[in-house]
Amino acid sequence: MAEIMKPIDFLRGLFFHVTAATLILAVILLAAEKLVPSSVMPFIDVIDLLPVLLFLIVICAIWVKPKESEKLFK
Amino acid sequence: MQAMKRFIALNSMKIPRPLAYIIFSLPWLGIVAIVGWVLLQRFPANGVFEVIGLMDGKSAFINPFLPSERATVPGLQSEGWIGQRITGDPAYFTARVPGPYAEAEVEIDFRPIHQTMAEFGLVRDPAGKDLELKPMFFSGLESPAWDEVTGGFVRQGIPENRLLSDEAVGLAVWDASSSMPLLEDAQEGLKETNVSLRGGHDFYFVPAGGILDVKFDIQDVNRKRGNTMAVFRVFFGDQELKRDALNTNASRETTMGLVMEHRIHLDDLEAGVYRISFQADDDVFIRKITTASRRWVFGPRFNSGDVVGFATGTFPAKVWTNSRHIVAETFHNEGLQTVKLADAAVRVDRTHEQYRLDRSDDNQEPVFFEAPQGDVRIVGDGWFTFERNAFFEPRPSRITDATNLDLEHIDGVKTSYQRPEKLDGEWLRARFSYPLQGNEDTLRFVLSAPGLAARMGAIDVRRVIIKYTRPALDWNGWWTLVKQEIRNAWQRL
Repeated sequence: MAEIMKPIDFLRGLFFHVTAATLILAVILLAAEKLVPSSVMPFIDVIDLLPVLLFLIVICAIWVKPKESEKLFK
Repeated sequence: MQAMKRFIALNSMKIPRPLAYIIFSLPWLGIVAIVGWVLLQRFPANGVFEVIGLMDGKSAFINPFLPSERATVPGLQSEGWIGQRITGDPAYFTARVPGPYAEAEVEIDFRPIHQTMAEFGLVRDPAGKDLELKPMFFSGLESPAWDEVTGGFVRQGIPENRLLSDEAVGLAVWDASSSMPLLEDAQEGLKETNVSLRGGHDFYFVPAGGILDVKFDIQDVNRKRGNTMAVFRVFFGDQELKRDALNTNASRETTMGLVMEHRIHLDDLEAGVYRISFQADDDVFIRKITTASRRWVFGPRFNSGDVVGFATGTFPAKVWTNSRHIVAETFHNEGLQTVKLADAAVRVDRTHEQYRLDRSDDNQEPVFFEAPQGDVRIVGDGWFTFERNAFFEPRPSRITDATNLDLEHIDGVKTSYQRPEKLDGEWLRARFSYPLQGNEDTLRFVLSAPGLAARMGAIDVRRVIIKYTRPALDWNGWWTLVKQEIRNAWQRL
């Protein structure tokens, strides 16, 4: 049964990974723009993406329980 | 009820974990793809990155022209075209540099309206003093009466080697070096000339009997307390032959300093033109020049100083010049007067305001300039001398927005200017290329159109293309590039 995942857990896991990946992408892009100006901003407006990221983080914190997320990495 | 059943059915579905993990990895793969795409933009394999700005304010790489009082709002213009209209001089725009590149090639689509001349350049330093302007447009050379040849333009029927001649008369330059006339005079006795020249000036002398012998009487008028540094530099072409720096003697004075003599004497000189550059602030006056040279001129800046505290009365500025266009300005009420250049005259009736004086005759000989009260600063497009016989042209005149090639009997123009490409209607396309250091984050370009506001003209710009180039990437080149990016990032921190 360990090889099977409930749909709700799957959705939570997916949401967690999307949020984490977006957060890491934002950090990489902002750091790149800080260190190498004009390397990111002309192509991707990271600032406009930050509210979306914040929304994802808030939902993730409420909906994805820590225990559930720990399971995802087992 | 149906929806509830569907939800229960969905919730009872079982998803295999390996499949779930594959799906979970998709956002991370997306990140890798996005970062890879950004890196590809930063490090294009062919070494070319091209940006296009329509001067509509929407480009992330090319910003619109500024300042706003000299350029219209970017975007749709009242005549229905998209771009910007430049109405004052100078206007500038900035461009983001997308990494370390070796060269920036700029193409600019423009349309001059009632404007004779334009130059385009790159500002190399934040203060805007290191400016590299290149010819962009000159209406006088658009005529088919001029042939484009190597090194410039000649009138039809004039041989191409006219541009190589050392005869300065009838030749003009625009962003080009010119050969020096090889002049020499016989030796004669010293001759004194009383002058009142304020601040820095450039003098040009023809050697007499292979000797350059000039004595300057200088004086610190001490209006700004303390002594002042003054420098005399002697040049032959671009070669500096001598440099004398001296302190004026006004350190303990509360009134005018004493008149000091400074002599420059060079022997065994070859024929040519020797330039003495006198560098000092406006506290230092030259009161007398004594020289053995028969021919000597100065310019194009001529600051005729006052004699308050040095002599009674006034010291009129009376000189001969080949300038066709001059700008006169005074900083004192005593300098308000009518200045005359040949038959042209203008009343200087306000201080700190520039008054323009243009000749319309076709006289090639030097003409008389007079400012009866002195105390006026003149910037001309030619040379000045105190005696008619001492006049000569040390180098060809430079092209200005007021240059009239026909009236000035110019038959050759030495220049790097190339006629812009003709596009639809009256639109033209000019191309420029600027080498880059590799550490620039932004470039600041300047479009200069002298006299644009005065003649109520304009320059329309509808498109700017900047192509950044560097050698195509190989492994070594890529590593060098990454090191340069790291160095630049470190400097920014």
